[in-house]
Amino acid sequence: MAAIEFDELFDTLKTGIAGLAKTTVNDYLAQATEEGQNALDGMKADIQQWSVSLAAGDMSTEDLKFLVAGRKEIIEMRGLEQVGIAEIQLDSFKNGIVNLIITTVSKVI
Amino acid sequence: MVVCKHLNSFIQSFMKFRFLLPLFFLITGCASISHYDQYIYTQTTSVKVDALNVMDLATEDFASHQQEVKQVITNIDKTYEYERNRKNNGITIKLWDKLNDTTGHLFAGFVKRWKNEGKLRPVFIQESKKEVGEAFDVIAQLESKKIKPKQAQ
Repeated sequence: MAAIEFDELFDTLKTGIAGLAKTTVNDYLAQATEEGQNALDGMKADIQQWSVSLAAGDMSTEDLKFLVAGRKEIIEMRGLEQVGIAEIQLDSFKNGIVNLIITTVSKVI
Repeated sequence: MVVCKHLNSFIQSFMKFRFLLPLFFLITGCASISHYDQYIYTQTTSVKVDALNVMDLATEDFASHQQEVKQVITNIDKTYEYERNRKNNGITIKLWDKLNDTTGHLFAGFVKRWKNEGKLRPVFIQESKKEVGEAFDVIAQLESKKIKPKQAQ
């Protein structure tokens, strides 16, 4: 194989992989940021609601403590979910590279 | 003769790109996380509904609803057992562990408190249901984002 063919092939793959990585990371960041914001907004609204219920006597201090601890566990679960999503994105990225190699090499052959 | 020509051409092409083979096998060799499973998605959303329905009964004595609670716990245990035997499923297992932790404050923690206190306040039940519902949603949402088998290599 001539050196120029190697170079062309690698350049095509390099460009393709860079584009793939950029799309994957950007999609993930946008999604993670949005979910983080939503979780924060939801928590603020919940705590306001619970304070009102506590003051009205509809909820005990124990109830409030239980709910706050539950909220903390949900946040931990959301964190684990993000780790899982990152792993899914990594697998998608790997699949994308494989498809890119197959497509690029098929064109040259 | 024609077959030999094609075979020769194939071998030449293969030799040209053989350097890509190790990379190809390295990439395809290991998935980081399990693929999507329709059964588990259906099961998770189904036990969510059962769990939230049984939580509504917590305004009444735990003793009179033990059987319903036991049924929901059994269904969760069955789902958990299925999840436990899937490959590369550590994160989902950790999510179920949170939900099932009797020392925690989600479904299993709620049931323990109901059992200990006999009955619970309606406002608390409704607020706790929101959290337990969200906990099930996290598990179902992660499952729904996993790579579908037809998309996988």
